[in-house]
Amino acid sequence: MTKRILVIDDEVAIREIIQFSLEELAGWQVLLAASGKEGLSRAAIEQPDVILLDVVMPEMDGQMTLEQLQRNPASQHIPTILLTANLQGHDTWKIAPNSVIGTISKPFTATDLVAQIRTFLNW
Amino acid sequence: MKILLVEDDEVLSETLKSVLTRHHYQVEATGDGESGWQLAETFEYDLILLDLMLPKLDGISFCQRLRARSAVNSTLPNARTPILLLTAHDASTKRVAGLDAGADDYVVKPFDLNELLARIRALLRRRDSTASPLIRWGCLQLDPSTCEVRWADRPVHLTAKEYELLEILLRNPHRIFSQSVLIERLWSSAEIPTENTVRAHIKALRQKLKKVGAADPIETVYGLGYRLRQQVESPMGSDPDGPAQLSPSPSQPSSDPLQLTSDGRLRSQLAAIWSRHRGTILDRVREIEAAIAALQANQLTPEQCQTAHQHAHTLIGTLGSLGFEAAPPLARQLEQRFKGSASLPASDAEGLTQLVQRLRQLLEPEAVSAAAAPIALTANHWSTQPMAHPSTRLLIVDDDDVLIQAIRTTAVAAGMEVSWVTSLTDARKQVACEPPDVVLLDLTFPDPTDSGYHLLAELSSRQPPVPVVVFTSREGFDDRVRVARLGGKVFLQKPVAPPQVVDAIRRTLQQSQQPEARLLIVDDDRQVLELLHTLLRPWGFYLTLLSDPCQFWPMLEQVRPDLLILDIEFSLCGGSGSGQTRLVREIATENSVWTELNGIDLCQVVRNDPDWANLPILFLSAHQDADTVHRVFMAGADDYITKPIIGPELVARILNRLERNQMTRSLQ
Repeated sequence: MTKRILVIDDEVAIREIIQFSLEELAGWQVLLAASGKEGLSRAAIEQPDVILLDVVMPEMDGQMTLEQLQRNPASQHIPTILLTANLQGHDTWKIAPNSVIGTISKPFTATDLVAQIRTFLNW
Repeated sequence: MKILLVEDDEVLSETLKSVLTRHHYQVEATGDGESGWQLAETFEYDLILLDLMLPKLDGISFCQRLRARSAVNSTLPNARTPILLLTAHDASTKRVAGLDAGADDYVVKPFDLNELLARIRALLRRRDSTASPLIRWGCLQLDPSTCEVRWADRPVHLTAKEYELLEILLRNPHRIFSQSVLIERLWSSAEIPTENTVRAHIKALRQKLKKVGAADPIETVYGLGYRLRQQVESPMGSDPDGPAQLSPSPSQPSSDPLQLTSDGRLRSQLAAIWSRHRGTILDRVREIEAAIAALQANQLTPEQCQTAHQHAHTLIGTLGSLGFEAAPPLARQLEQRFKGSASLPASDAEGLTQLVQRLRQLLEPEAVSAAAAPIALTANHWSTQPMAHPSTRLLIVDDDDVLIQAIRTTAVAAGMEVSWVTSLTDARKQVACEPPDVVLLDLTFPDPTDSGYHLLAELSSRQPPVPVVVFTSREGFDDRVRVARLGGKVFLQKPVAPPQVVDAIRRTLQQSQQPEARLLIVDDDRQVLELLHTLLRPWGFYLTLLSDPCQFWPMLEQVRPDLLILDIEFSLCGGSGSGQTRLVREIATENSVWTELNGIDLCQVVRNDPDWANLPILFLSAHQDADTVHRVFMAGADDYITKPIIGPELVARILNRLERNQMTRSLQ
């Protein structure tokens, strides 16, 4: 079964880069959401194998989205990887360790992206 | 490889992070022990770089906690992650305590960057050998415990020898393996492989990988053997590891230039994404420029400041991932400056404009910014100068504030990255951590036991040396001589105007940089070729090493070198059918047999050709007799070096020849 990845990021170029990279290099199926809100409903309906979540987004940011994902029983169990351009760690977050399994820094190269996702998920 | 960096010195932390990232490590950095601990509790890292003196939770307690926890439950994150301590030099008791608390190794500040990197590699190697995790290259994955190979999700079925070949290349990513070494390592003495065995296995391996859509991990190094292909850091940028290349065999069957590897597809797809969204992305840059203009006019609103901050933040990720390697540091600086509130001083606008202009130039190289910057610079001619070098790093070592500020501004306007220290000790720290491209050095400092001369000597004796522009209020001729003897490039006497200083710096850089120099080296002794590769690579030359003199002429035409190095004698030409050169044909018609080709023949042929008549030619040989030397110079050689080869001497002669040639060419 092909792995399915949901990408939640407000920047269209990043969504396209990730989609192309994962589909081309790894053969995974990529679902896209342009906002936290859209991401929440897609996650619940589509049940992806993992969520790539941008940290900085307008309106509903990564932290709020994560909290909502956790609250919904339909999406609680889906592992999440954070995408961030921040240099410092996210020590100020109350991260739920069960669902966030890793962080990927921007900028990234396609091969690094795939390699890191594999590492975090043991794929 | 993921590294957790716990260091409270911000400057050091930033430097380490940038250097480690350049070396392909993923770095997570934090400034206090407690948050470092939280990260280590949550995420798994391949290595932890830990300062001993940290706020909230010190390094030793960190180690103790981590090891104690892991002793109880070895499945927790980082149970076996190596810890490398960053310690101050006068803290030996702490170091002992740190090691006893469970750290694996330490480096002493200020430390040599290369040493740090080597120790990191050593710790990771050690970890590898005990855990035998997967070995990766791009999307290629090799599991030594099961001998399974996968590309992305797809399994690749290899024979035992094919697997071993792949494994040895992956485990030694920088090593070139000749066919004979591969035979020695992978075949037992009972099996007698034929001449083409290795080549055949490599071909089969490549074909199997190609079938699953994999990129080719094997690089054929012409004349020397095979090596793991070095991964390019960014799809559209250049390889940050330096330009030395060994060119591939021209008769290699699988290097079909029309074949698109997945690397090529990626690159073109990224280019497509860029052109689709270029407008929107440039709009962001425009809004940042608007904010800067507003700042200059003292009209920056908090909303504008916030928007600029957000845009800069987004640009870090987007531009970097699209392949604009030089963009993220610029965007980060912009992001940092616009952080907080609108309480930015209007004087900051100048520096900000420089940053955003450089960013624009990266994104729109064809649009030459002939229009002057919105700010009037001190000397008009600077605004139309092209950038010195995209990332020239200048280190200023002087304790005179006022003068330095002016020089800094001018240097930044010329496109340089400027760091400034006021003491020799700080200068040494900076140089050890991140060697600058050029140093501006004052000679006089308060400490009577240390002087600028010492630092000058140290910088000139580094390999490769750092060029130094000296400026001082000292007037004596003795000082000039001393500076020249110690390797200083320029002697400026204070007082001196900032534009003149920056001009001198640029000239020095131009002289010491040989970014485009291509060398072609012909010697049938492969050990000599490997030695030359090791010696010359750090100097930034593009190297082509040829062991088969019969391929000389096509190589010459293909590589178009700036300098040629020849051995005098070659053993009998192998004479593969497709390798007929016109050179060999000439000799063959004269004598109608294969005859011994020697370096002198090659030299004469080169001199006979009008295209190559002016190519500098150096000979390398063990012969020292007057007769040979005479013949060599009669053939038209420019210089002659005897073996055994002394590295610095060879390099000096090469640089000398190249410089002279450059000057002659610019006069013509």
